[in-house]
Amino acid sequence: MAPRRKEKLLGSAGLAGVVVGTLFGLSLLIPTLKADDDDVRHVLPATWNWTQDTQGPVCGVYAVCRALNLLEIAAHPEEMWNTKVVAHREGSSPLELIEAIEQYGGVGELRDSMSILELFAVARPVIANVRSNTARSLYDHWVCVCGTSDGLVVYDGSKPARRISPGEFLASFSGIGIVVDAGLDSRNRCMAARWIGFLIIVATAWLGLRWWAVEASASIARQFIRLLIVTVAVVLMAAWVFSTHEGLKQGYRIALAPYSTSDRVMQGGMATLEQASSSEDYLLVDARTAESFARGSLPRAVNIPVYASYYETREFTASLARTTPIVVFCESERCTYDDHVAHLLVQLGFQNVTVSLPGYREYVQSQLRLNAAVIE
Amino acid sequence: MGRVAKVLEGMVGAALLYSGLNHLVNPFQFAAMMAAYELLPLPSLQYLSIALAGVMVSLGVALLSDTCADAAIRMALLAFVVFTSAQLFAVVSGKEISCGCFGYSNQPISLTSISIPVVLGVFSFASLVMRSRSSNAFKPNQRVREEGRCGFGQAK
Repeated sequence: MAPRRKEKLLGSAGLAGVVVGTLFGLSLLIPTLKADDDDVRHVLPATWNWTQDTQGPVCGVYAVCRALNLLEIAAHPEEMWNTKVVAHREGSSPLELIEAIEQYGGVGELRDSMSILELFAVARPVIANVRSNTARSLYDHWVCVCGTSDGLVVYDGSKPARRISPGEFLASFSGIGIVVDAGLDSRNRCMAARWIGFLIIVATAWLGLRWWAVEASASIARQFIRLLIVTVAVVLMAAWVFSTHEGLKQGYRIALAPYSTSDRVMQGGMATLEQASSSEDYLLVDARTAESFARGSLPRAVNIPVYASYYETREFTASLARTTPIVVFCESERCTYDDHVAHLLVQLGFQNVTVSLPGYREYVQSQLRLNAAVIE
Repeated sequence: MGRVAKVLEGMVGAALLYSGLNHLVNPFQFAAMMAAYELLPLPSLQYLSIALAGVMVSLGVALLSDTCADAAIRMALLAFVVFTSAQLFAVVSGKEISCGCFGYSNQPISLTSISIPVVLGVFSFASLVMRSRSSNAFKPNQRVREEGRCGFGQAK
């Protein structure tokens, strides 16, 4: 039996050797496999549906429906398109939105210079006038916003509700809002929030000015110093009352984005476009609509349409390294969609963003010319 | 100091307080409005926006309560001169931007928006002149009362 045992042992050792060898071989192969996965696109979501109903003239319709639905009043955007109240080409005015709310049995009250305190205190949905694209300075969009105990919840078009920090929201908010179902109770709370906020600030300034004894007539300089100290107190109090530290930096980044990103976007030509379309190190972004992208695009291109919101784009590119070189293009040299998307990407912290002057059309023509030359 | 000067200071103070409170409510928007003028470096605006709004409130309260008003009216005059110049610069540069006078407005800079700081500046200047005249005409027994103007301080 001893030789058999020896054979068994040798067989087991051989098998173990084969297993170890296989594993070792695989471990050598894995880096090679990983090397094949180096395409920067692999960190992006495989499928992504960009919602476009949040833009254009129907945003007010969606915001009204969301607000009414939150108050358990049945309303659907398509019904409102039929009423022709709030869905014409130029979008909706506040008065048209109020009219639409009233048609469904709700009450809408227009307010301006709304503070974060009022948004929370009103305890009702507010249809807020915001910027549609954070790369633009125009307040041309309506969203429904609700202040809850967990923070601000924003309903934008048919997208799922999004919780955002007060700073981020304020940075895109014009201060014009329609409080939906503004009964006497919510109106009183809104007014109380506004005046309490203002009174706290004014009281801080007044008490600061009256606190210490100073020989006023003796020196204007000392009065200046007093005013300076009071200003600091007022600013600190205002930051505490009207804002939160959370999202403060982000808020300023969003607010100043239309003015801060232009000098950080580079310009590229056909060579840049071709390099991005052939190299795995580049992310090539097609800024045209999802429909145009579906009809055909450049090799390796991913779609971030011009109507993509700041938050959607942030989610889509969350896993992408901020140092990734990105080249953005659109239909042709004349279109400006690529500029919008490029500014949005810079705003999100990408450091190497290039707008390609030639677009899809120029690229196709160039390829056709190249093919014709090869055939000849 | 005359009653006219006090009324003028009250009007200037009320305007500054109203504007300052509106800007303090949303300093991000104020920063964006200032950025549209393209006069100051962008990184400074996040601090300047909230600081200027705070200054407006302080000046407004100082003028309305007649506390530290000598310094406040000088600062207000300076602020109106700077703001008028900024608006004129924007008009000359062909910028169609909101003046950012009292919070958000989608109306671009116009004669009306320029006239606001001009009128308030004239009020401030007139008040300042009246103040200096009245202080030049001090009588010895008036000085004791005037010394208590900035704060609860007791005159020595």
